Amino acid sequence: MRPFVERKVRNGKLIRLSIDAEHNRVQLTGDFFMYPEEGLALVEDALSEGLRDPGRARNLLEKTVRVNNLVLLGFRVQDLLEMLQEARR
Amino acid sequence: MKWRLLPFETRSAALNMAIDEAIMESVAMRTSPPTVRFYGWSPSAVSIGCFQNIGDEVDLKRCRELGIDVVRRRTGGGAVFHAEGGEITYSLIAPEPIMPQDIDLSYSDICGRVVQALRSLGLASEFKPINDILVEGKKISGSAQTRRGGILLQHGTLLLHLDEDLMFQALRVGKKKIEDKGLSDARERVTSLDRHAQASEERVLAALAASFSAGIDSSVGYISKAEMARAQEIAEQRYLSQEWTFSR
Repeated sequence: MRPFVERKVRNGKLIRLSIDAEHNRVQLTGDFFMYPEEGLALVEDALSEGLRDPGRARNLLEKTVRVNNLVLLGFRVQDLLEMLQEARR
Repeated sequence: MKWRLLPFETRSAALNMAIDEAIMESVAMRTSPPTVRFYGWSPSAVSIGCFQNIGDEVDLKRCRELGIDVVRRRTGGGAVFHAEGGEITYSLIAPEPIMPQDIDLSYSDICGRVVQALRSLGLASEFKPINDILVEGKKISGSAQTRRGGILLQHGTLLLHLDEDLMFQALRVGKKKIEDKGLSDARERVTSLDRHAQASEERVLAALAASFSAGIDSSVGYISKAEMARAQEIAEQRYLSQEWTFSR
């Protein structure tokens, strides 16, 4: 597993996905926007769960965004899924 | 609805951010009208977006040596170097219902005011989504927006003079950040007003005030005592706290 994956989304923002392998936790940092900002913790929870159970990652993330009415600016759920997959290689 | 225009004032990084937040609260409580504020930074400062890792973005040791403040914003977006005397920052704080509900559209609407101000100074610029304004392909202004408690806050910069050496001593800019712009050096990405037009700070401020107040009912006002007292509290509790600043 890679400790972090970085992506500059074309015409979007920089996202760094970091993995704390010891605690199976994912952290997202970068110059992106998310509304409301408190949604980031929920997205990180979904990514962390998706790290443990990759088959559920897409559903978890899409549901988190939908249920909490999160607006992502500068990146898409697909970017996060691809980065998570890259980190797991 | 009548708007309040707050004249340009220079303050510390923590207080600048806290004043924006205190005004958000007072607009939410309807004790203050929608507000446009212009401000500067003293000492010079770096502000980072709320989702950024401070160590990735800022050379903290160099900032300490140079006396540059470092503050984490409530808004997302990137790290910004705010040179003392080198930029004008604006903030617009208003109830969401009187602003475009679509976030992209609201960026376009508010940044369009800055573009119009630059045009009135004879400078052609363009809004580049998500949150930049470019002159001749280089960034002269960046903005960041949050929405809390039914209130929209957008703050943004307009670079007047650029001290690239100082800026890039304070900021760490990875190659990844600029790779999709076809640039090898972040210095190629930024510009400032004085490289394209001759205009005093007063003239730029007048142009911004005219542009932001176009089409709305507004008058010049002041930060209330209650707002300033609340801002002092917020500065202490959040923007000067290590817990907040180093939260990522």
